[in-house]
Amino acid sequence: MFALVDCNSFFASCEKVFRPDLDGKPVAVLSNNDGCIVARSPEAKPLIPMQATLYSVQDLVKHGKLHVFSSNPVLYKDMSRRVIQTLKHFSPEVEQYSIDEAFLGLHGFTKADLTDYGHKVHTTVKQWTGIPVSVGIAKTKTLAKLAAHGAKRYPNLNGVLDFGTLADPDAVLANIDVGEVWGIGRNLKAKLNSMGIKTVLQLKQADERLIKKTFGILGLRTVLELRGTACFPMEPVAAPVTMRIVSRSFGHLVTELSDIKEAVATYTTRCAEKLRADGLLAGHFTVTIRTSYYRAENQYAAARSVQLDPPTHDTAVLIYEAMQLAEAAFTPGYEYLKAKVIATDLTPVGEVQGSLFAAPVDTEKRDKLMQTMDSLNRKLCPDAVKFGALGLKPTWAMRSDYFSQRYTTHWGELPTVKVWQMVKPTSTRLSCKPVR
Amino acid sequence: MGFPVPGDAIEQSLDLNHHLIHNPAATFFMRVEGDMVAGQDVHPGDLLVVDRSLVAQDGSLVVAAIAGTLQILRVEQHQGQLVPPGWQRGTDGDIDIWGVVAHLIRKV
Repeated sequence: MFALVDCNSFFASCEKVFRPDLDGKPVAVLSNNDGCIVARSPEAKPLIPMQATLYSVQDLVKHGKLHVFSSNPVLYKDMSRRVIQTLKHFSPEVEQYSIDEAFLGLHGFTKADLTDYGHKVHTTVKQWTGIPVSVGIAKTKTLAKLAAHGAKRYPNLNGVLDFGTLADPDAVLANIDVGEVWGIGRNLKAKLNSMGIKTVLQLKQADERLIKKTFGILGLRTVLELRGTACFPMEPVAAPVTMRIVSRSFGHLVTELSDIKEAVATYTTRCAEKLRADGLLAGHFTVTIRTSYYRAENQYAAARSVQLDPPTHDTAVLIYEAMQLAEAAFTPGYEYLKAKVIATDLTPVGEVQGSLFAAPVDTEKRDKLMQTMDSLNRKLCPDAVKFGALGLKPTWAMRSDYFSQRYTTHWGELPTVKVWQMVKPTSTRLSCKPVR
Repeated sequence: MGFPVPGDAIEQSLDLNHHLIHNPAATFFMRVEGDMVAGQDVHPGDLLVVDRSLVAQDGSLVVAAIAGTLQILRVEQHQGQLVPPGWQRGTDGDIDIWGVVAHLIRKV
């Protein structure tokens, strides 16, 4: 048996935990760069569509009918960690599937306990972390995912749906679009539709040979999972990292090489920090820049890479290479929107053999420099100490005008509380609103 | 001749995290702000260790949401409800307990 625990409107829920004044109010979270809406609280869902631009909702925001937040990934990651930590109290097998979803392995539970157990998970996660979750329970991961969807959609279930308790599961599956099935994206859905398969039930009852022939073994497994045969086991260990990417959109369109180089140098610095934090060296480094996809004309994209010999996580070396790659990729006359740096060919520190051809570098000294930079930047603020290539006053920086605090990871940004005072009743009727 | 290091007697040094945080997933730090309130054991600037997994009881120091703001107060059992002393349910509105203050850290 499996359970899927899915956090409801996760990013918006994270923002609400520390803001009781937003209880019951519509909250939306913007993508990186305040581009468009990527998360909506239940109250915001009827007001605005997903992917709505900030521009299109600005009237609601101005009149206080919608509260928006810039993406606060540090907060979301920490809250996600807390949810997973809580789930580990419920099962030894926890597989984090995304930032807001996790599978639990439920071996050894008797059928009768399962719904109760789901409610316990639901209540405890909410109590401990403040995050509301939906729990789907079923014989297979694919069915557990569908059950979690159902638990979210029907409030009378109180956040938990045990698929095994349904009187007529097929009648339910007949009412769910095949596109809702785990692993079936837009393309697969179109193909299934063209074969006359529109509902989950139709997929469940599809001909095995036909499915295998058209969609391969993975498609067949999905069908078997819908029939209750578990084909996707728990995968508690995260796959080893094969690349490190830092990619952002600029705050506005950028035309100058100097601005692009500053941005690329900054992303490279982040990337090098990530590599050092994970004890990895990069053997290959790529820089890509591009214009907006949403423009009909004057589009441009370019990528340039370099082999690093010996592999390194030294910020200075990586910036030096990145600057050359950025210059090589740059063509004047375009309005650039986004840059990306990608470190690949990663090896753990200590497993790298010395190079035959490269000049020896005093690595011990360099490592010390990097360690000192990392610890200063951690203590003071990001980029307190940095390389000159990053620029002093970036003009390309991301927009994040609605940033909330990093409530759980920075001493200077903790939630604040007032000392409660009894408001003495007065003879005249004054409204006693708390002063903000 | 020096004394041998007694290998089996080595213990870990004392860790305040261990001492103050019993349930890391449910523990949050908060800061007290505002003016000193006479007769209160909580001061502005105090660092609170708030544990959401603890169940508030009669006499607990808690952080609660009152009128949309987080406030720290002591609650007592009154007609089956945990409320601050003298609280009139209905007239004074709702209080929603956010978490129980497990420890209070004060710089002196």
